[in-house]
Parts: sequence; C-alpha cells; structure tokens
Amino acid sequence: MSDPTRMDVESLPAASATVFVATFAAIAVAIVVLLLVDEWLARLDRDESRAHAANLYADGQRLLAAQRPHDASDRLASAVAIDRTNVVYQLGLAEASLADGRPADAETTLKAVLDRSETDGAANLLMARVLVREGRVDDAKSFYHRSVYGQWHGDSAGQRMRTRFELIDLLARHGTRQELLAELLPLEEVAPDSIGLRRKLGRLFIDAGSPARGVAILEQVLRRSPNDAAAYAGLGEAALVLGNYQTARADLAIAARLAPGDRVAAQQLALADTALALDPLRRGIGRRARLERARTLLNRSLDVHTACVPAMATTAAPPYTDGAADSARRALARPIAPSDGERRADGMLSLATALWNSVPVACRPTRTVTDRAVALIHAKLAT
Amino acid sequence: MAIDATVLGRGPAAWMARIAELMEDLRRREDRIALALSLLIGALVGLVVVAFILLTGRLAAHLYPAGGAGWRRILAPTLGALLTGYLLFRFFPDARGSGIPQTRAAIFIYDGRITLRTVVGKFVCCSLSLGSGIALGREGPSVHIGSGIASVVARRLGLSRAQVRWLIPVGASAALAAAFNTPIAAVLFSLEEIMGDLHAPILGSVVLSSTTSWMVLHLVLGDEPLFHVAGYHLVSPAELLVYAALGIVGGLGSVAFVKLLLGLRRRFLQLPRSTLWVQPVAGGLVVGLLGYFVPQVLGVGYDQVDRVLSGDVILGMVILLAVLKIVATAVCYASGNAGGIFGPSMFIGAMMGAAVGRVAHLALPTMTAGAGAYALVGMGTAFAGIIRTPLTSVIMIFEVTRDYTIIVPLMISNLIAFYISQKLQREPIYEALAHQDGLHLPTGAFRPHAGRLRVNRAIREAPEPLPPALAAHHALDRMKDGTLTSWPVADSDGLLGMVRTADVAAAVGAGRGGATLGELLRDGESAGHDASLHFAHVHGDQPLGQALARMGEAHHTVLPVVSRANVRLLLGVVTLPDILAAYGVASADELPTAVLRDHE
Repeated sequence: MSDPTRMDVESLPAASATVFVATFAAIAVAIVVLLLVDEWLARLDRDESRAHAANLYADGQRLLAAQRPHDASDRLASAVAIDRTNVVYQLGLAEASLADGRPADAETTLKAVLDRSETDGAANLLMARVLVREGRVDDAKSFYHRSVYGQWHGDSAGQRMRTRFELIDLLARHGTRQELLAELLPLEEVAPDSIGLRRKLGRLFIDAGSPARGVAILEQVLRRSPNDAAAYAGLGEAALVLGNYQTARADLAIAARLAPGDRVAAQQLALADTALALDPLRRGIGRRARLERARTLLNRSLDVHTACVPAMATTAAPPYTDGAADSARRALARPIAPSDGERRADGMLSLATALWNSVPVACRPTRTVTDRAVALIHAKLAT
Repeated sequence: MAIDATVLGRGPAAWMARIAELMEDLRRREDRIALALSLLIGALVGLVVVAFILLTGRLAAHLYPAGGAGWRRILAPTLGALLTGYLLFRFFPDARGSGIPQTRAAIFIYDGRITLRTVVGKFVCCSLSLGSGIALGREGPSVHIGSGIASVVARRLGLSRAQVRWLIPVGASAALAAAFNTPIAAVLFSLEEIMGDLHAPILGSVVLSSTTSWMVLHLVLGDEPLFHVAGYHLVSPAELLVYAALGIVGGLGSVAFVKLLLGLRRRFLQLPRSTLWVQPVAGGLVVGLLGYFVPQVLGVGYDQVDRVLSGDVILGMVILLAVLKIVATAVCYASGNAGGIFGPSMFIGAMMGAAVGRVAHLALPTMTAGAGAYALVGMGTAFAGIIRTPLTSVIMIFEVTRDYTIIVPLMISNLIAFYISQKLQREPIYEALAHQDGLHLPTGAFRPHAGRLRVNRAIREAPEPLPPALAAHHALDRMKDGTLTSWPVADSDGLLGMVRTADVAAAVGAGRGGATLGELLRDGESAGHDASLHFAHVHGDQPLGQALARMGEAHHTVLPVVSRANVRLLLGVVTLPDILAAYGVASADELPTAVLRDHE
C-alpha cells in the first residue's frame, strides 16, 4: 500500500536551505501572531456578545415582571441564542415560556439544562412547576425533591427551604397526609427560627393530621409574639381538629378580635360555635340534651347517607349499611322518652357513625357550617 | 528528528546548527515535507479563517448595531458593494466571486498558482462585503484563501508544480473545516468537488490539515457548534414520503436558483468592461432594499437558520425568506460581489425544508416530526441540488447533527434533489461559472480517465491559422502545401474553428470559390451556437480516448488543442495518426481493444 501522505515529487524543493528555514520560521511566527490576534478578537467578540445577551436578559426580566411574557420570552430566547451555556438565561426563558402558557416549550428548554446539569436546584424547581402546570403532579414531586437536594448558587439554605414549602403546599393540595407529614417532620428541625415560618409550619402540621405538633409550635410562636392572630387561629383550628371545641372557640375569638378583618377566623369561630352546639360528648350537658344532640347527629348522618346512595352504588358500599339506615329510621321514628338513658344515646351515635363511615369522603357535604361541624364531630367520635 | 542529547547545554550556535540540520533533513524527505506542511498549513489556514470569521462578524456588529435605524440596511450593503467593487476592479481582480471555481482553475490550469495578492484581496474584500450584509457565504472565499495560502507557502519553498497542485486541496480542506466546523465533510468536499476524485492519493494530507484546522478553531472559539440542533427522529415510516417530497421541492428550488444566478451573471458579463467596478452595487442595492423590509435576508443568515433549526418556524416567513434569499444571492453573486454560494445554499435549503415540514406537520401532526427536522434535511437537500456533491452533503449534515437517525431521510431527499437538478440543469454550477469565465475545467466524465495517455503526448505544432476573410480558392492553395485534413481558422481574438480541406475543395468545386472561410465555418455551425465556445476542441490534459471520440463526433481527423483558461488560444493540434502512434499502433485496424471499448 502506498503512503497516503506521499506526494508526487519530481525533484527536491528548489528553494535553498536558507529560504527553507526562513519560510518555516515565517510560518511559525505567523501562527503565533495569528493565534494572539484571534484570541484577542474572540475575547472581544465574546465580551460584546455577553454584554448584549445580558441586556436582552435584563429586558426580558423587566417584561416578565410587567406581565408581558410573550415579549419577554422573545428577548430571553435571543439571549439564550447568544450565550447558550448560560443557565440563568435558559431558566429565565423557561420561566417566561411557562408564564406565556407554553409549558411544553419550557419543558424542552429545561430538559436541555438538566441534560447538562441534572442536579441544578433551580432548573429542577422550574421543571417541577412546569409539570404541575401540565397536571403531572407525581412527576413534579420527584423534581421538587431533586431541587431540595440539588445544587443552588447563593443562599442555598433559603432556596431549599422555599422549595420544601412549595412542595408542602403542593402536597397539602394534592398529596396524602402521610406524604405531607413526611416532608414536614425533617423541616421542623431545620426551618429557620422565624415567626412566620414557624407559624406556617404549625398550621401545616395541623393540616397533615398532627395537630399536637402544630399546637406545640404555635404555642412557641405565641410566647414570642403574644398578639399573633394567625397563631391563635391556628391553635383554634388545631383544637377543632382535636375536638376541644371550647378551647377552639376561645382561641378563634381572640384571633377574630386581634384581626377583625380575617374572614377565615370568623368562619372558623362560627364553626366552633356550631360544633359546640352539636357536640353530644360535651361535658356538662344533661342527659336529655345529649339524647337530643345524638338524635340530631343521626338524622344528619342519615340524610347524608341517603343523598350518597347513588355514589355508594358505584363504590360497592358494605351490604350492612342498608340495615343501618333502616335501624336509624326506626330509631328516629321513636320519640325521646324521659326514661331513655345513656344506652339509647350511645346506640344512636353508633348508628350515626356507621352511616357516616359508609359514605365516601368525596360525597360528604362541606358546604355549610353545620356540614363541617358534623364532620368534625364524627372525626371526634372516631377517636 | 529527536534532538541530540549532546546539543543540550551548548550555546545558541549549536542549537541553530542543529535546527538547520533538521530542516535540511526535512527538505530532503518528501514524506516529511508533506506531513509538516499538512500540519502547518492546517494550523495557519485555520487561524486565518478564524480571523476572517471574527473580523466579518465584528464589522457586521458595528454596521448593524442592536436597534439601529432601517436606513443602515440599505446604505451599508450598497456602500460595501461600491467599495469592494472598486477594490476588486482596481487591485484584486482574481478575488471576485466564490473562490471554488478559481481554486479548481488553479489546480487544473495554473499549476496550483494562487497569488498572495489574491489571498489578501479575497480576505479584505470578502470581509467588507459579507460584513456589510451582502447575501453571500464565507465558505467559498475561505476555501480560496486556504488554497491560496497553501499555494504561496509551497511556491515559496520551491516545491514542484505537482506538489504545489497537491497542496491546494490540503489548504481547501483546512479552510472549510474551520469555516463550517465540519472536518470530515471538509475532507470529502476537497476530494469530491475540488479534486473531483475521492481516491486522490493526498487523502492523508487532506485529513491532517482538516483536523489541525478544526482543532485550532475549537482552541480559539470553543466547542460551540455552528448550529444548535435538537435531537430529531423519524416519527413514522410514512414520513419518508414527506422527505421525498422535500427532495422534489429542494431539487426544483435548487434548479431555479442556479438558473437565475447563471442567467443574471450572463447578462452582467455582457455589460461593458468599464462598468465592472460599479456592477456589484446592483447586488448591494437589491439586498439592501430587500433587507430594509426583511432584515433576515442580509448577510450569511446563519442566525436565522439556527432559529429555524430549533423549530422557530412561521410558515409565511420561511417561504418568503427562501424566495428572497434566492433572488438576493443570485443578484449579489451575478453582479460580481465577493462571496460564495455555499452558505446561502444552506440558508435556502433550511427555509425550503422548514416550509415543507411545517405544511406536513399541520396536515399530519401525529405522523411527522417538527419543522426543524425538515429544515435540517432541507439544508443537505439544497446543497446536493445546487453544489452537486451528494456525499459531502450527507456527511456534512450528519456532522452538524451527530445524529445517525437523520441519515436515511437525508439520503432519500438528497438523491432526489440531486437527480432533479442533474436532469434540469446539466452543468454543475461551479463548472458553469467557470465556463462563463472562459475556463474549461475538467468534468466528472473526464476524471476516471485521469492517469491514462493524455493529448499532450500526441500534440504537434499547429500550422499558421487561416484568416476567416480568406476566400475558399485562396485557402485551398495554402492547404495543398500541408498534410493536414483540417485547418485552423483564427482572427485577431483567437481561434474560430477548424475547416476541413474537403469542405473547402467541395465549395470551390461547386463554384463558391469566392466564399470566405468564415462563411464556410458558419455554414457548418448549428444555429444559435456560440462559435467561440462550441467548435470541436480538446485540452492537453484530456485522455487521448476522449480526443478520438470527439473526432468521431465532429467528423474531423484533426482537432485543435486549446488552453483551458482561454478556449480560443491555440496551443497545437492533434491528428488521428499521431494518436494512433501514441498508442503504439500504425492504423485504426490495430487499435487495442481497450481503447475501442473506451470510445463506445
């Protein structure tokens, strides 16, 4: 085989050895000079391009803040086209695309970032938001976790905390109580000692079904900030969940007084009042009152059960509930006699509990204060 | 060439002596010269081309600042064309146009000679021209600059003509690798288009220079690809039909572009030579006016290609851009601006592909990929249709995407475009451009015969040409003195054709002894043919078999041998007996079978 670098040589080069050396030397010098010139030109070019991209990014951010996401994404796309290695620009573009109602474009941009740096905290957080927007909550949760444990630039603790709270908010809306609690427990140890954060944490524990932890945290908050209406409201809600309606009423009344404009606190106060009025287990009420309250609860539970029969047909309700409904109707048909004792009250409460438990959670009404009070009392009876 | 250990520790004189010794050793070893020059030319050309790209970009950035006024878009290309037009006319006449036909001419006609003035002129004029927004590309000029540098270095070193010629594609591949960031495609382009021979024995040198240049590019500019392409894939096998349709659109678009460019250029070439310096302004003004309304038409337009490749496609806009770019590039090139058609071909292809892809995606959203995938294949399609290097175009797009899955649709589309282009526009664009300049470069049909017996082996001195005004009976008297059966007829501008002795005798016998040779020549021509280009002739580097075939077609046993650079420059004649003698036979009866087979 012939040497591939071999040339068709007719003779030795005609140039003298001196010219030969001089030519090679000139080429070497030219290479060095050109390398320096090129590096200088390339640096100038890079600097100018970066400055231009930075201006476009700033423009894009301004437009995004001004609620003009379409124009913003146009500017940010140009910035990304100039400086494709800049993750901040890409995240800005993804954010603008998301705001512009184009989650698929945002996802494409973020995939490119995550391909290069899968542990980037900010990119994972944005991807989680995109997935939430696309309704893919389960996928979003894993990106939230990657974001929490990912790399952040500057104030990483604060960023992680905010991401955790965003995930917790998502779980509070879409997740199970166990998932929520699992996120909250580690947070209790690491959350900064800020009143706002502790207050939020306390209330989240209550939502997650751990009211005792929530109460403990909110009491700490009140020791430091005695007039904290939100903390009182939280304590009131915890007491409602725990079935301490008297305590709940007292706390919510303080909250309503400290924050007269807080409609939620006012509604919760009304709920506590209603629960107090319906609660058959309340101490200090007489036998007759207890029988009346048990009867009211049974009547209400039967109404809910009857209304939910079509829904129950599709969810294969236990067969015995039809019998419970008949028993309830018979119990309600029999008037309360002076001789009726605790046994009748307990019987009616047992029937009410059986009927309530047979109704799917989604079918249980929550529209009125009474509906919600009934639900609270059943929760108390279940404990 | 390891440094002698005894030199270490000695003074500068010992070092200089050792270096001189090494250089002398290098000078005497052809393989080492080839290796060293491949590396050095690769590095040098790479750096020059990077400087060319950066300077062009900086100039464009200054002429078109962000948020600049619209009038700049008219003024900058017009003034840029005026300035470069003057420079090209006054100082750098060989730096006009693309550079690819000129590079091929250097190899096949001028013994590899490209002057330093041409290199400098190409660099300066193309920087000004492309920076000012002229709608031409940088790859062709880069190839010319790279080849020129290789030529200058080789001639400076006193290498033989053959060596100088061999180094031209080495410089060309280095230039293309740096200009388009595709080292493999650069090698293929140099062999397929520049040399016209994929089996050229300089493959190793070409690969070395291309790789070195590419490394220099990445050293200076980083690892950013020229285009950022998302990972595309074939959504459904039925999509191949859409790619086939893209091949048809791409082929027809390519033919339209080539015919428009060649037609316009023919008209510009007919204008008086005194207007040569101002002709480029026509291109500048047209692109300026188009750019005033649609700024994306200005310049090379790779930013727009990048956006389209990433899927940012508005159907009306991409169709408009494809049409406007065809017009703008054709006018800019035809009017004599400095710049190439390689880049614009990519632009036009990307826009055509995006348009086809967008329509397909609107019609069949679940069966087709996004428009970006079609834009990518469209780039290769237009390249195959316009430049006519199908293999290079496939490899080039493959290199840009680094995605194997794009290969099959790309090949289908490319081959259809190539076939349509070949059918509707027989002459490839670079050969046609060279023909318009009076250069007769070797065609693809010629290349397989390279290395066989050439016309130069049988050439003989031409007799004194007869003037076209000479009467037939006087001509017959002159012809009787010689042994040739045909005689050259030439005026002050050069050869007009060959007139057969038998035809002249027949005219005299028929009582037309007063008819001039010019009249007899015209009688023999088909209407509408340009005599200066279409009389039967051969070139010295063509195979003897081809000369025999041409004799058969023209019914002459004597053919003029003319220059490739000027078809009217008579270098000699070749006769049938001389050809037979060159083959070592006395008569046609004794011709070797292989030779006869060649003619069939």
